[in-house]
Amino acid sequence: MIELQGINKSYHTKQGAFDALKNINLNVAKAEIYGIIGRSGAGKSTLIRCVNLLERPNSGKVIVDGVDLLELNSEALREQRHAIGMIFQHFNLLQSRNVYHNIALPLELIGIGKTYIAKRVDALLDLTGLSAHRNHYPNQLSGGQKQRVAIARALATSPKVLLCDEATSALDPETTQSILDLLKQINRELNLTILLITHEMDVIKRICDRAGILNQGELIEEAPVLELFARPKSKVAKNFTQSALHIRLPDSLEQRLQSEPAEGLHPIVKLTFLGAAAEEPIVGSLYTRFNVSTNILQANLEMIHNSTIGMTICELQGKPGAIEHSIEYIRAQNVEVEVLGYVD
Amino acid sequence: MLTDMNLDLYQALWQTIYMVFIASFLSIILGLGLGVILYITRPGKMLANSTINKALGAIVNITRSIPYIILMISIIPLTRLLVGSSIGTNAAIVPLTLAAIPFFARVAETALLEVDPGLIEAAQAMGATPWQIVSKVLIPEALSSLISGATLTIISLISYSAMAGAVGGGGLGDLAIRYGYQRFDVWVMLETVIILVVLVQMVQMLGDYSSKFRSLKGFAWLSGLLWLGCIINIAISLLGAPKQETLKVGIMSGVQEQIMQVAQQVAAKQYNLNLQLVTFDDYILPNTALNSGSIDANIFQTVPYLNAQVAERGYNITWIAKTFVYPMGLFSKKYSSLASLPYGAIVAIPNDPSNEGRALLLLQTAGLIKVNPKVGLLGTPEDVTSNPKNLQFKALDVASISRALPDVDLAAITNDFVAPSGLSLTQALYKEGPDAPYGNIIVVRTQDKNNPLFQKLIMVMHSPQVLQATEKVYPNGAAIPAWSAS
Repeated sequence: MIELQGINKSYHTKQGAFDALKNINLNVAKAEIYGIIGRSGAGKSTLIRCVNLLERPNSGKVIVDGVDLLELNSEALREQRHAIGMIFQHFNLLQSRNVYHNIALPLELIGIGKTYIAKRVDALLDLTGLSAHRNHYPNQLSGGQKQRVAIARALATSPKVLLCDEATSALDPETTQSILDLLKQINRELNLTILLITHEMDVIKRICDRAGILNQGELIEEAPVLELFARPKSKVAKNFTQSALHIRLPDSLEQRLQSEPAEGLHPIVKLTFLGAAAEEPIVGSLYTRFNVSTNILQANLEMIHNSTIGMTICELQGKPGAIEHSIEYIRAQNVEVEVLGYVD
Repeated sequence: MLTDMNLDLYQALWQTIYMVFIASFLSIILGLGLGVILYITRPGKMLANSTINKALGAIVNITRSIPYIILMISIIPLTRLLVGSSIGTNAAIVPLTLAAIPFFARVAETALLEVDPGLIEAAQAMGATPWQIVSKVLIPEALSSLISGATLTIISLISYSAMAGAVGGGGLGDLAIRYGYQRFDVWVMLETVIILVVLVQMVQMLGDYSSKFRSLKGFAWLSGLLWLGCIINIAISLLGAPKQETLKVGIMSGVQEQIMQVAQQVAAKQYNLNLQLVTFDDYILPNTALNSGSIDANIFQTVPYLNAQVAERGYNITWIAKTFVYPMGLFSKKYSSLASLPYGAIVAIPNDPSNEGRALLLLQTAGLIKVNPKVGLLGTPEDVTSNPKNLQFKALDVASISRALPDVDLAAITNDFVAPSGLSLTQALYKEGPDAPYGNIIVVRTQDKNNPLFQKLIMVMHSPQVLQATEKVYPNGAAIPAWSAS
C-alpha cells in the first residue's frame, strides 16, 4: 500500500548539507500497522512527511496505492492526499471550529454537500466516542479527546492510509493506551493501513505488526515485532527492546561483570523465551539434568500479538562442563541464550 | 446661532463617520489582501516568493513612513482621477484609505504569523488548496487578532480624519481646528473633542467585544447601517439638488466663513446663484484646486501673493475684482509706542513668504528697518539692509503669533487673527494704510474672466449686506472696502 524506494532527503544548513534520510526502502502492506522507531533527530518526522509529500524527497519514489506521488502535478497530488489521512503529536485542531466543524473540514475542502457531511460526521463522532462533545471547542477538551477529534477528522474522507506522527507522545500512559486501542480498532474495522512513527517502543509493542528502526537517517533494521523483540540485531534495537521489556542488569552486578570467562567465575545469561517455550519449566529442570543451579536475577513476561515473550537474566552455577551442556540444552529448546558476562 | 452650530456639528459628525467608515471598509479589505500576500510569499510559506515579498514590503514601508499630510497632498492627481475632485469629503477618503492600507496590511501579516504552522501543515495534508488554507484556516484562526488590528486601524483613521480639513473634507477634527484653534471658541472645541472621544470609545468597545467572541456580527450590523446612511445621504443630495447655477468658492476657514454665509444668502436670494463654500486651512491648495477645476473661484489672497504663486507654479488663473483690505498691525503687550522698543527687541512675524514680506514692509513703513528694494514684496529677514535697533525676528505660524504676543516685544499680526484673539486694530502701535498693496481679490481661471456668472459673484461680494457683515466681523476699521479705490 505504501512503498518508498531509495528515498534521499538532505537540507542545506549554515554548517553545509545535512542528510536527513539516506536511501530509505520501505514497504507497508495493506491493512498492516507499521511502526518506525528512532531517537529524536533520527529523521522520523521527515520520513513520514515524505509519504504525503509535505516534504519532497530529493530522489526516490513514493508510491501510495500504486500511484507515484512525485510524478503528480499539484492538483492531482491534492486529490491523492484526500486518500491519506494524517494525525499529529500536537493534534493541530482549528481553535476557531468546534468538534463537529473540525471533523467536517476535510469534507468541506472537497466540496461535499451539508447533508452528507452531517451524516458522515455523526458516524465518525460515534466511532471515536465523541458524540457528547459535538459542540465543544478544542480548548474545552482533554489531550486524548483532541487526538480522537484529529483521528475522526483524518478518517472523514475515508482514506486508505493513516499516517501517525508521534500521535501519543503528548499524552499520559492511560490516554495513550485508549488512543492505541482506537487505532487498532479502526485498523481492523476499516482495513486501514497505518504507518506510525514514535520514540516509544511501548507503542510498537502494543499495536504494530512490523517495525523498522531508523537511526541517523538510515533504516538499519526491520522485522515483524515479535521477531524484533525476540532477536534484535543492532545495538539500537537491543536498547529499545530492553527498555520496553523493563529488563536490565542491576547496577551493582553490571559493575562486577567481566567479559572473559576465568577460573571461579560464573556466567550471567539472558534467556529469551518465545511462544510455547515460555510456558515450559526449562530453568527448573537444569538442576536435575546437569546439576546446575540457576539464580534468577530478573524476569519478565509480556504478551505481544497473542504470543508470550519471556526474558530472564540468571546466573548459572555448576561445574564448567555442565554449564556448557546446559546452555546447549536450553538452545535446543528453541530459547535464545545470550551470555552477558561473568561474575565471581 | 445655536441651531446653526448644532447643524454644523451634526454635519461634521456625519462627515467624520462617512470618511472613516468608507476609508476603514476599503483599507481593511484591501489591507487584508495585501497582508495575506505578504504572509504567503514569505520564505518558507505556501507560495514563497522573495522578489514579490521584498518589493511589496518595500512599498508598504515607504508608504507608511511618508507623513500623512505630505501623502495627502502628493497624491492629489490620483485622488482627482478616482473621485473627480481633489477637494471635499470624498477626496479626503482617498489619502485616508491609502495611508491605512499598508498599516492594516502589516497588522494582518503579524496576526497571520501567529497562526500555528502545524494547522497549515494539517490542512495541506488534507489536500487543501492555498486559497482554502487562507479562507478556512488562516483568516478564521487569526480572526481575534485581525479584529483587534482592524479596531486599531479605525481609531487611527478617526484621528487622521482631523486633517481632512486641509482638503476641504470637513469633519469633527476640522471643526475643532476651525472654531477652537483659529476662532478661539473653546466650547465648540470641547464639544467636538468629547464627541471624538465617545466615538473612539464606542469603536474600541465594539472591537474588544468582537475580538473576544470572534464574531463579526457587530461590525456587520454597523457597516450595514452605515451603508444605508450613505445611500440615504446620496439620495437626499440628489433629490434636493438645486436647480440654480452653482459656483464653488474656496475660502479660508475661520471668520471668513461667517461673512461668506451672508454672501451665500445674498447670492441665492438676489442672483439665483448657489454659492458652495469650500474651506481651506492653508494658502497653497486653494489655488491648486482652482487651477485644476475642483473649485470655480477663490477669495483669500492678495495681488502680490497671486502673482508670486502664478510665477512659481504656472497657474492659469487671474483676478477679476478686489474685495477688502485687511490691514496688518504691529502689536505689543509690553510697550505702548514703537519709540520705546528696546535695542534687540524680539519681533514675531508670520512664516509664510507673502505675510513675512508684508510684515517686513510694514516695519519699514513704520521706520524701524530698511529692506532691500530689489526683493519687492517677498523679503525675508536676510534682506534687511538696515536694522538700527537690532530687532530679532522670529518667524511663526500665522495662527500662533497672537498666542505668542505676551512672550515677544512686538508682533506683526495678520488681520484674520486680530479680533479672534481679543485684540482690536485700534490697539495697534502701527498698521497698514489704505494704500498698502494688500487688498483681497476674487480669483478665477483665466478662461472664466468674462463669464457673466462671475460678474454676479462680484456684485454679491460688493453688496451692502456683505459689507455690513464684514464690518461687523472686522470692527474699528479692520476691513476697508478696496473696490472703490480700484
